[in-house]
Amino acid sequence: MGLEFQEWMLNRHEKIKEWKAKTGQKCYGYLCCMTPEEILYAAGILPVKVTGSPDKLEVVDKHVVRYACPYVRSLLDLAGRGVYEYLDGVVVCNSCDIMSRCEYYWRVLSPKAKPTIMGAELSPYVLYIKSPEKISGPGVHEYLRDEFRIFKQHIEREARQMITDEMLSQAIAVYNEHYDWLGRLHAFRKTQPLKVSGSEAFMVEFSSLQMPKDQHNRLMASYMQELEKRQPLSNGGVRLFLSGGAVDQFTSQIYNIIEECGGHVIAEDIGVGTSYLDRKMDTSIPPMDAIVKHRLDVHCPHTMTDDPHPRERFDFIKSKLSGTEIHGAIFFIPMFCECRNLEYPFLKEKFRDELNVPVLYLESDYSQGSLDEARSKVEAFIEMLKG
Amino acid sequence: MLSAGIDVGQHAIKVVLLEENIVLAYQNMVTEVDADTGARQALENTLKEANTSFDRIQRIVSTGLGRKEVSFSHLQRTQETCAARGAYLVLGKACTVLDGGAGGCRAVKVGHGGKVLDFASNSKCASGTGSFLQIACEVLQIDLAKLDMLAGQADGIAKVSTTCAVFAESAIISNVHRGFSIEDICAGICDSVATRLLEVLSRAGIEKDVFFCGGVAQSKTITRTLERRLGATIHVPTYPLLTTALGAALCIS
Amino acid sequence: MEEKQAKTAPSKKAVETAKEVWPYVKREYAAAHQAKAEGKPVVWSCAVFPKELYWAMDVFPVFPEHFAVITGMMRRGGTKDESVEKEAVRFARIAESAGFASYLCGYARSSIGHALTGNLADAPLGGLPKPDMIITTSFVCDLRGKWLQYLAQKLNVPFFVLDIPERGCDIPFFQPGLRTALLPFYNKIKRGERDLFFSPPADHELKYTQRQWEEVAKFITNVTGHKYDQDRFNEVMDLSYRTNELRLEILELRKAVPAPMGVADGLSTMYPGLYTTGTQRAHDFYVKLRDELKERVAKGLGIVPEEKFRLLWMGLAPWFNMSLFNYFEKYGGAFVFEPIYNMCPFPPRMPEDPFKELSIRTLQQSGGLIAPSMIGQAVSTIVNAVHEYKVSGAVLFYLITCRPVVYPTVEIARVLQEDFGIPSVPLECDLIDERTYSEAQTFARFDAFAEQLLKHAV
Repeated sequence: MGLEFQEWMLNRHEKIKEWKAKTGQKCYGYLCCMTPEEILYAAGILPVKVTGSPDKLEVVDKHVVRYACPYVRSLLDLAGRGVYEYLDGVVVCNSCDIMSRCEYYWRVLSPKAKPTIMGAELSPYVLYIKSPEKISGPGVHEYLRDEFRIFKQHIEREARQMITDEMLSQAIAVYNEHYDWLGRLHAFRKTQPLKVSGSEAFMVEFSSLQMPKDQHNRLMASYMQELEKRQPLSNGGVRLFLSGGAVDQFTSQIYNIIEECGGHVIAEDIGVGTSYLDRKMDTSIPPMDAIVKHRLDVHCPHTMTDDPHPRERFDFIKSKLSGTEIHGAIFFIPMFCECRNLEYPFLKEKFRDELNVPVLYLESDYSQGSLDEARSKVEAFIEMLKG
Repeated sequence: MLSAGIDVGQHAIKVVLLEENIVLAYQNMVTEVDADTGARQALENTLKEANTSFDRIQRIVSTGLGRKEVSFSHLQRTQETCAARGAYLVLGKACTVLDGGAGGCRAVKVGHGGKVLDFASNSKCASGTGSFLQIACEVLQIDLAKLDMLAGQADGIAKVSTTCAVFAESAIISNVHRGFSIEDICAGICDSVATRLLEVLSRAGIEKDVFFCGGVAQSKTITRTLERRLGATIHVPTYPLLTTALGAALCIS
Repeated sequence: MEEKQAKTAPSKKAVETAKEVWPYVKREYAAAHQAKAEGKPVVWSCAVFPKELYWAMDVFPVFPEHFAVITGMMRRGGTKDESVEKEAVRFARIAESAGFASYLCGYARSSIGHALTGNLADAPLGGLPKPDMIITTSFVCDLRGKWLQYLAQKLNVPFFVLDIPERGCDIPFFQPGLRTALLPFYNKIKRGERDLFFSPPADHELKYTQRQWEEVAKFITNVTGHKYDQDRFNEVMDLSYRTNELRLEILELRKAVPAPMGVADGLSTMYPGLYTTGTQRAHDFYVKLRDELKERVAKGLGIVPEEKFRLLWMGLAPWFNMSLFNYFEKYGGAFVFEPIYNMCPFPPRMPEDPFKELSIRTLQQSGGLIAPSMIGQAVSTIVNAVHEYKVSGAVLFYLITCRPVVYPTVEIARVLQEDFGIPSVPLECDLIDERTYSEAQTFARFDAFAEQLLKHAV
């Protein structure tokens, strides 16, 4: 079943098109974990995370300036070239300065035709959710619930069916099982001796963002059983935490590079899978509230609170590392990623002072060149950790 | 134990042959053949100079950009690790190594025993490296030694204020057209390189002692500029190009 | 050793009232220090945050963002010696050594570097008084929230962020394809009614925003003990509204040919309105400016003896070298308008619920009326301005570290050229970090652009 995870990661476009042809159902692309996937799932729509590729850029320069996240430029270029033409819709959230602007960019780049009146779309192809930046404080829960409610209304129009609370609860049950499996994988990676590599774990998590969750859940059941029986990977490997952005099926090479240099990533904070959605939804409250509460528990570099000491980001990272030890941390930050870079000096200090581990900073420009360049720095870092 | 350190750089291959911490012989060979062939040739030349043979060598460690291409090395180690070891052997104490080469510049904070404590580098951009100096030399049509000498004779600095090497080329040309003296223009170029080196140095953390090596360390003007700006003595070894190869020869698995 | 480098200089002012801005600025900073010395609470805040509540609750606002502009213009100790780098560069280096990337906003790097020196007073104009609290907002850009939060952490003071989620481009007016069709209608509408083109804030947006505004008042009370008083707040809001009306009048006067006031003066005279809105001094300043411009229009006085071509400036300013705004004058070119931070109509006064009014205003501003952040709005603002101010070319500031300004630039250039045949030229550098500036490249581009516009004008 490792092959099936891999297929969905490396051949995701073909797999999704096959799924659409087989089921006759729709598929929506999304950019960020704030997206209420459960609403899409409840409507029978497959949510898939849109990512970039190493392809040379062909069309995006006509609309998007070079001083912008190279990962987003890449995924927009794919949109512009029609690689994502199989999507029936796209969901953009207020995830960061460049991602929120994808609402405009995707529309202007994508050749997808939708019926319009005077330029205004009858059934929007691109849906924008004005998600809050604050995750706590008065009024934020109600606000996000209203944003999700409006989104649900659009999806109901598109899907031609009402989404009842019961349908949402069923979707939540599937997603909760998903979070549970990934939580177990995450816990398993922290145990010693290490039996699963970071690159393999990434593939398992990433594939879950492309395929139907119930299908992934079934694969996970046998996969976790198989993992328990495995032999340890290696002894005395250098254990690392990875924090970064724009990590997808292309730039996940960073995991392989780390492994080839003698290290292993045992946990991460990279905006994929359980990075931020690492707990189950609360089923004791109405389903919309459960989804809202779950998303307001996302502690990503973009989110904010009124705490002048943004401890919650470091506390969140520490919780991911609880019960295990690491020797170092690697920050793999895309160029122009202001949210990540601005918190980096604070987090570096905390890693040093509270966890007593050194940190390596790698700048990515979402290119093979920057991955190759990262290799010698990773090597030097691991040499340094080994002493 | 006889060991050899081979530093395969962008333009040259440096070799140091070491026995009981004593340098028996060394080479700095500019080459255009592939790294493996070049490394072999450079090592052979070094062995000839030391009047010894390949089979006596117990450990060969390769470093530098082409370290993985040296098929006959026993170990490959990064430039950070090797620069740290080499500097510690020469200086005998904890320091920050500043290594300015053709392909990049790096700063390594070195603890006791030559242990790497932290490092920073600037290899993506040409600014602050030997490549930047080479671009400048091509624009002015002089060699590096002459550029350094002229810079030392300047009484002003025609500033190259931009941080980008691509823009810097047009900035140098612009300075020429404005009629600044060649000495002041060269001083501006050295000043710009020193500024970039200081930025990398400050990211690694500056120890009391700074050890400056690599091709860029051959510039007396840049060294003096760094000293002035840091308010400290910069240690430049007699053979600044060989520090990393020396460090490689010291590495054990 | 003497250093010779690219010349950077302040701009030449055409309007007399503009020359009063620098003394006005210095008085504000002196007043801030004075307030601190007298034990009055000081808040650090940001440019796009409405200021009225601060004046109403007797808290003195200071702006690290504006202070960063000052550091971009001045050298240490106020020296004119060009071998001494500008303070913005000194501070940026400190921030970069601490691990902040050079692609981060120049304002943020200067401000963070300044805070990291540990000596807030060792900076131009006596530096900044230490704040008692820091209040910012999340809209326009991610950085203004997080950078000020970082400062609050470093200075160990209470912090509040007013969260205004970025509004999208779902307004038909901003949809690609519809823009051109609506242009003639837009230009016929009076400036004071243009807010009708923006979709009104949704109930839940308004509720969330208003809840937070009320929290801001509570937060200020918790920190300072000062109580919120609605009558006092309404006084300040009245003054602010009337000041805005004056600024709208000024924007109308600036449409005249020849332009009575250009961008050099425009970017300078925006200070009182942007940073001291709601004060009598800001109001009086714009009365003076308005009267002077009326006179200049009546007399047909312009920026250049003969306008050969009119230019629009898009984006903020290269504060370290404002002389660029005079660059085209030797060709007879004048920078006549800059849309950034130029006021649009405030919603009607609601004295019975001023927080609701302020929430509507904040959401309209978020929708693009003050610093258009989303692409559709940004493009439309420029397209409208180009037509209103009869501009034949635009200089687009590709602010390499200011995301909300640089993101729409390519689209703006494309739409202006493809849809309207209006050429533009980019200037690529930072707001205040002059290390990023290439004089050679800039002058070459500007000269070629001037030639192109002159040829077209013939």
